[in-house]
Amino acid sequence: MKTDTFTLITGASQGFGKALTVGSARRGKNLVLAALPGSGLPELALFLKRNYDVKVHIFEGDLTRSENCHALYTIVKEQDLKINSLINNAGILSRDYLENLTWDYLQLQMNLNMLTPTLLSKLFLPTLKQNIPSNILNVGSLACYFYLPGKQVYGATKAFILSFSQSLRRELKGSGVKVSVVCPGGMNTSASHTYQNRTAGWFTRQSIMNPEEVAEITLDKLMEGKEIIIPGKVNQSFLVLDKILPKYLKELITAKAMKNLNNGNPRTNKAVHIPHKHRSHNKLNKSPKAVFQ
Amino acid sequence: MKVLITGVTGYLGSRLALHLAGAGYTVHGLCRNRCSWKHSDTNNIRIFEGDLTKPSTIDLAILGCTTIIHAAAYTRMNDPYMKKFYDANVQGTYNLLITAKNHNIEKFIFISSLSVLGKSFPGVPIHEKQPRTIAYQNHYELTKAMAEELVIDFGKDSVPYLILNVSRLYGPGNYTFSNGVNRFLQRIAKGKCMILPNRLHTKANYLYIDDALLAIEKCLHPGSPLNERLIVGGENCDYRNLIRIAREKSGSSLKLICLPYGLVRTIIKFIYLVGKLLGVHGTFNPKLLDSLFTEREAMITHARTLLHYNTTGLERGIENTLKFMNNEN
Repeated sequence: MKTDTFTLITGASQGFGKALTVGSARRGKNLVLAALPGSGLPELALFLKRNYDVKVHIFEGDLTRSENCHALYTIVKEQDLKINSLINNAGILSRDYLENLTWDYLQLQMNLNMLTPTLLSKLFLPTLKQNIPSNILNVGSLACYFYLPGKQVYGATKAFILSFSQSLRRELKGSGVKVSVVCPGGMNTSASHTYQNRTAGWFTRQSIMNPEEVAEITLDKLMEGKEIIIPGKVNQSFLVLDKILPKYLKELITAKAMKNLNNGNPRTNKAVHIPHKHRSHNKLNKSPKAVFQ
Repeated sequence: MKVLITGVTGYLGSRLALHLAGAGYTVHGLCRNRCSWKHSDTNNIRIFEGDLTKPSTIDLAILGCTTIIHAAAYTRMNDPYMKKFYDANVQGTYNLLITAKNHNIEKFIFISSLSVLGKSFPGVPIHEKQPRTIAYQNHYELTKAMAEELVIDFGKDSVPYLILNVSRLYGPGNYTFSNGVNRFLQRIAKGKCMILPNRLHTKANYLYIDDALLAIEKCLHPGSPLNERLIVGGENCDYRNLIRIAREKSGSSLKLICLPYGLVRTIIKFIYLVGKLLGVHGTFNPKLLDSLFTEREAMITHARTLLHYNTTGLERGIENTLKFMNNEN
């Protein structure tokens, strides 16, 4: 059945966002995709149009800047695209000590991980209410349940997402707009992340999932209106273990994580001969250019 | 023109060295062990011993070269560990790029794989601009993708490049792990019985090695493409037709037994795990099976338009390959 409503996905060009995008297109959803310029969005849109019978609009811009969020909203409104699903996926990871992370990077991370989804939810809420039944999916992380060294700010931004989503869901009860939050564990997104995952310890490797599997589970559960989505049995068991394990054992695990971060886990640091500037996960396109097609 | 070919003793590398030398190029061939070079010396092929994981050993081979064809790779897909894949395919490429930069190399041709671009979809073959929509299936795909990222990165930083995503190669040449299609054809020709998963409709692209050599040679011509990727492929074909052609050309009376994919995968996984416990790596593992039965039809029009190479039909290509293998035996 043809639909005239649209799903808006941020951070759509890569990783989990791309998997959510492809999964949504496979389900016949028309799409408005937002991502950084130069991240392959036009190619992705072309691929989706060729393979699935859906309409695809793209917005290339840096959503860490609130003016670009407003520009996205204005364009969507001007074109009268009926958004009935907002997927706030864009986010930035980090894994380092607070003192090693630059303030610019942290600000960017906090902007994109917290302010951007909040602003987009606020801007698009009236549209979502007009196109009910509709939903908002915020992408959190399993990291928000644990207090992990090296992920102090990232984990906190995702804890914000969890709290924000749960509160907003209650606030919107009865409005026809359902809010869900997905908290995935480690995923094989980019080549460099996949490499890190595959060279991690056995225990970590068991929890790693491919983004396309996580996206399938997430989109199914989103349709069911589930509040908190934890994809994967191993990840679910982590949460149970967190509740039942004695505190000293958890401290022991945290201490091991700290040691790995401190010394550089030999299993995960085989790329030491390749300088950082040549590792793909270190690049962040900050171009403020915004283009809509 | 002097060209450095890495992996010169490999399936593609060795044929390429002979082909380019025959076409008038001076070839510097890099390999880890010069004893692996099985061909007689010619005036315009010089073999250098060197290891890409040890940068100091490649300096001599690169002297005087203006172009590098990086064909060396670790391709043993039955190896369950990452280390050798990473060392050879990522670290090795990085070391070579650094050396290329220091020697002001004019063109770095990276021989990559079609599998880096993921899978094809019904009616939509893989093309150069296709975004990858599935996770990397095995260490080989992953490390080749990481190497491509490095090549593109150095391309912005003064090492002009060309990435060639080559499809499944077959045809006369050395017997190495890289020419699985040849082994498959040989099994069809000589075997009595073969068990296969019931996904014989899976399509892939097959490239006859002589066509690959011509295409790569065209990449050395003045005005040839730069700083982009090209899918260098041949004919799209499913397993059913591939087997049919090989049976007809070899007169084989092979019996095919098709079992459900899941069952075959479970059996392979079981054998693989037992082998792993005993410290033995079999030739097959579940990831390799998944990779072999992933749809990989390719669109080759872009490369053919730019490089003007012809493709040999599968019928003739398979016939030539079987003849070659018969003569070898």
